[in-house]
Amino acid sequence: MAASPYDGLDARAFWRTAVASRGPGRLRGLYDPRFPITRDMPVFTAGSCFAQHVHRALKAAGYKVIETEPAPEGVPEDVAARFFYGTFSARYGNIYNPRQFRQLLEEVAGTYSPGHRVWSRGARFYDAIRPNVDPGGYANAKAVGLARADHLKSVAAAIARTRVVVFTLGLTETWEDRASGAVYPTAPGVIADPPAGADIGFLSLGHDEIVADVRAVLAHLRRQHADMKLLLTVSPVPLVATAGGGHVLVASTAGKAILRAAADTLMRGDQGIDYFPSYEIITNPAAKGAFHASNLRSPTPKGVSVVMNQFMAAHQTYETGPVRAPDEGPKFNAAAAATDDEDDNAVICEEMMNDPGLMPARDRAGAAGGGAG
Amino acid sequence: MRVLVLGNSHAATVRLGFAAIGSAFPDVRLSFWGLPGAAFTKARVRRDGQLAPDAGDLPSLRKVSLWNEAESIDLTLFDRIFLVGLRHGFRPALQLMRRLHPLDWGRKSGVTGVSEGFLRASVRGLIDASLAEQAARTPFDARFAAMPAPYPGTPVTEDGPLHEAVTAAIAAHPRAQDLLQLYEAEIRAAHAAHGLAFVPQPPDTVAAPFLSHARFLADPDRDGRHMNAEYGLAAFAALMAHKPPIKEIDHAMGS
Repeated sequence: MAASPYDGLDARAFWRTAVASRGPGRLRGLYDPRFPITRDMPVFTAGSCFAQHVHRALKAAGYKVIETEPAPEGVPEDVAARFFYGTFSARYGNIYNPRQFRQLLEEVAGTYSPGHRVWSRGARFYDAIRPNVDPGGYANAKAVGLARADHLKSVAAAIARTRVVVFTLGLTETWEDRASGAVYPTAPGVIADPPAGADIGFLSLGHDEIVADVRAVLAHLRRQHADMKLLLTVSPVPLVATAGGGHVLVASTAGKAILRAAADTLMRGDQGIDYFPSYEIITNPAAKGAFHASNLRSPTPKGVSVVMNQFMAAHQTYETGPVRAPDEGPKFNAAAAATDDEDDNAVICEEMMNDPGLMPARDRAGAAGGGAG
Repeated sequence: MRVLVLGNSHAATVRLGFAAIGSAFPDVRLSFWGLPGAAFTKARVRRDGQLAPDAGDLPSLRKVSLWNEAESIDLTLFDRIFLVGLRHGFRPALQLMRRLHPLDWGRKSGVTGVSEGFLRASVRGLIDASLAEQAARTPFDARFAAMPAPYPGTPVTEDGPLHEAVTAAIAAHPRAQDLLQLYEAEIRAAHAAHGLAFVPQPPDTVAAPFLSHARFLADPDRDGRHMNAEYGLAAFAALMAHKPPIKEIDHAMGS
C-alpha cells in the first residue's frame, strides 16, 4: 500500500495535535520567518488599530522601531499617545487599508495629491487623511496644511531609514473621493465633514485591489531600498460597523477573508513579503474567544502577549540559534505594551465612532479609545 | 471665621502679611501651616486627619518645628483653607511652550509645530498630574481655594544673578499674551476638574505675561520669586473674595 502524503508529517500539520490538543497560548510552529527581523533592523510600522499593539510591543522588546514623530520631550505619556505621537513610525494615524498607505507614499513622493484634504466641523478644521491625530482639529485650514507638510517630511525621513515594514491589514471598507480617488479613514460626518459638493462615497476593496495596492506600496518602498522587506499581518479585530448594507458579521468575515487571501497571494508572489499569523492566533478555536475582550472585538492583553511571544520566539532563531517554542523563548512583557483594560482603551481607533452606541455624543468630535480594525 | 493658609514658601509670604491681613479682616482667625517646597510635597493627611510632614524625611522634620507652631495640623478645624504656592509644573509648562508652537497661530521657525489642542493638552496634563498628587496628599473639599505660586518678578528677565532663561524667553515670546491665556485657561480647567476653586494671582501684581511686578518681591536683589507682605495681603484678599458655594460652607461649618 502506498504511503499517504500525510504520513510522517510534523505534528503541526494536523489539527488534532497542533490545535485541538494544545492550549491557545501554546501553539507551535505557526510562523517560519522568510527573512530575519533582528533588533538592529530599522522597522517601520503602520496599519489599523491593532498595529498600535505591534508597534508598542516591538518597542518594548527592544527592536529598532523607527519614530520620526516621537512624543516631544516633557509631554505626559497619555497626552502624547492621544495625539498619536510615538504610536507608529510617524503620525499618520491608523492606516486601515493599503490604498490609504499607497496614497500616503505617493503624496510623500509628490506624485499624488488627495482631494479634499481638509474637512471641518463647526469652526474647527481637520486633516481628512488623519482626522484623529489632532482630536480637536485646528483653528484654520492653513494650520492643517502646515501640519501636513511637516508630517509628510517626517514620513519621508522614516521611509529613508526603513529596511522592513510591518503592516497590519485592517479593513476593506473605506470612504473614497470619487473625483480624486483619495480614501479617508473615516466616513463623512463621523469626526468632520467634507467641503460642500465633495462626492465622498462608500468603497469596498476587493482582493485584487488589495494586492495591487500592497504591490504599489512595496514598489515605492523599494525605490528607497531595493531589498525592502514587508511583513504583513491581518488584524484580528472585527468590523465595528458595516456600511455595506448587510450583517456586520458577514461583512467582517468577508473583509478578513479578503485581506487574508490577499496576504497569501502577495506572499506567494514575492520572497520579500512575509505573513505573520496574528489573526489566526487571536481567533483560533482553541482560544474559545478568550483572546477577545467582553466586546468580542478587542484583543485582550493576554492575546496580544501570545501574539508577540510567537513573533519574538520565531525571530530569535536569527539571533541565537535554534528555534524555541514560544513558551520557552524570550517573554514579551504584556504589561509594558498592552493594557489591563479589557476593552482595550490603550489603542485609539476612530472606527469605534462608526457605532453611535459606543460613543457618547460629546465624544464624537474627540478621540476614540478602544480597539478596532 | 477660621482660615488656614497652607502651603510652601509662597504661602509663607502670605504669612508675612498677617499683621496687615488681621487689620483688614478683623473677623478672621488666621492660622498658617507650611513647609519648604520639597518638604511640603511630602506632607500628607494621616489617617487621624492630621496633616503632617513625612515622618521619614529628616529635612521635613527639622523644618516643621521652625516653620510652624505645631508639627501637624487638624484640617477639620478650619472654615476655609487657602492652598498657596503650588507651581503646577510651571517650569516644564514654560519649557513646552518654548519648544512647541501652535501651527494654528502660523509657523514659527526653530520650534516644533503642533496643534494648539496638543499644546493645551500637554500643559493640562502637567497641571493635572500635579493636582492629582496634591489631592492624594490633602484631599480637597469645598473649603479649599488654591492660588498658585506667583509668576517670577520682572528682574528674572534681566541679565544678572536672578536671570531665568526659560521665563525670560516666554515673556519675550511674540505670542506671550496668548500663551498666558492658554496656560491660565488650562490651570483653571484643571482645578475645576479636581473640584478645587482656583484663584489667580491678583491682576494688579502681574507686570507682563508670566511676570510679577518687581515691587512685590521681598528681596529683589537676591530672590526673583518670593513676594513681600504687600503681595501677601493682596493674595489673601483675592482668596477671601472667592466665595465657595453657600451650601458647602454650611456643611463645612457643621450646620
